[in-house]
Amino acid sequence: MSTEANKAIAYRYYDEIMNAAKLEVIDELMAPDFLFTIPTQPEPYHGPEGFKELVTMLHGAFPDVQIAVEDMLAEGDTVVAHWTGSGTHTGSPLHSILGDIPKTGKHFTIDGMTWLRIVDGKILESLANEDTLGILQQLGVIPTESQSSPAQTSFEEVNRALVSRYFNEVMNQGKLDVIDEIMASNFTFRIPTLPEPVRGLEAMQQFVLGLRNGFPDIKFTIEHEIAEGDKVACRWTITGTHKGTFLGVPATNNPVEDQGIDIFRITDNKITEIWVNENDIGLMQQMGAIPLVATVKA
Amino acid sequence: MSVAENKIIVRNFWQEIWNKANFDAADDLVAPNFMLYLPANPEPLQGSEGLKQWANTVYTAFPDMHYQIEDEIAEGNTVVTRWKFSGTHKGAFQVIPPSGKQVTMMGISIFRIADSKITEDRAAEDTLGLLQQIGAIPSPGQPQNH
Repeated sequence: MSTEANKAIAYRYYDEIMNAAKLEVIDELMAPDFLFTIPTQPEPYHGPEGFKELVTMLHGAFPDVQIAVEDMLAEGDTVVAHWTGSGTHTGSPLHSILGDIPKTGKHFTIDGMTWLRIVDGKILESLANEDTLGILQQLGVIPTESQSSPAQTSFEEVNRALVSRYFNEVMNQGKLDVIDEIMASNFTFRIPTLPEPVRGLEAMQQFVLGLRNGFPDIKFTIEHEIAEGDKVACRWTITGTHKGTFLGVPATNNPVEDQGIDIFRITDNKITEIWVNENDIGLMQQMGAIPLVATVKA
Repeated sequence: MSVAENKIIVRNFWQEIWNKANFDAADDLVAPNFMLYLPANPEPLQGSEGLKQWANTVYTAFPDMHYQIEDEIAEGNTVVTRWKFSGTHKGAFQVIPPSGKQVTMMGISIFRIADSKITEDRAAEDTLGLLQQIGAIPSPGQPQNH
């Protein structure tokens, strides 16, 4: 098998098994003597049946669990994936090296890497490494140094202030130098209109330039905001006029409106991640790039 | 640069800096804009100075530190190493006093290389397991005092 064919199998492993929990795909992709190891689990999982137990346990504990592949590299029969895992512990207990952890209600986002060995189209081994300390701290099982209620409040205020500067100064006023002040150098920006995340400060400056070139009068208004721990979530609306090429669509001078939700992650007073969800199809329709075929006349 | 040449650069990185504690080798091996991403650090460590500082932190705590390369692959401008760290906790590890414990830790590092210099090292490693082995975090499944 080529390394490209092996990568395709590895993507199916993440999309169909880890994220969609399609257990029948485990029978298709895993070798009979498949072995799965990860440091947060006390014992390895053996064979397709053992692996089904792990996937079922994970989705039971974190019904919204997502493993987003950031990078994939391959040579010979090995594929290595670098991923970001996230989820909210709203379900059953999490089986772990610290015992079974009952529902915490908390969200986690961590980094990990997995070493997959794939032979003749079957996955023989999955050796994972993840931020073991990070996940258990974020779930509140292990204390972090900066955990105390009064500090937490001011910490959340600081996070809100950063988010406010992001919308007002960066997005609405186009002050690109503020990006360097409020965002971490390893910043990641995920938006459904782009196939790959925007990474780093310079790439983010380019993104904002492109957005403001398309809509020079763009204005974000925050409709609702929640801050908790290291996260801030914002529901926003925007208005603007389509005066420059955006996402390949030449200027139409159409007024546009969009709405969406951004989730910010903040570490040490810097924004490290923004996940965007917006009405991207509506935006494309308003720019005239997609016809309004689905419009129902009441 | 070929992937074979990139693999040699990364093996030198492990051998010189981490196994021989020859920290000055960092000046030749990494680019000025080098970034080291570790799960335990919220911000990346930068440049050869950042790398030397971190290597010295680990060396102070584990003077016999050793990274065994278990496996490696390379593609394009990247090299990935799967490694096993071992060492004896004879000195303070940041704020954690020496425990005298022998530890091992598994990890994976992804390196990016440009013009024969390492520009990025991103690691996934079992920090929790390490802290449990040196007694900084209790392990409920194991006896506490031996």
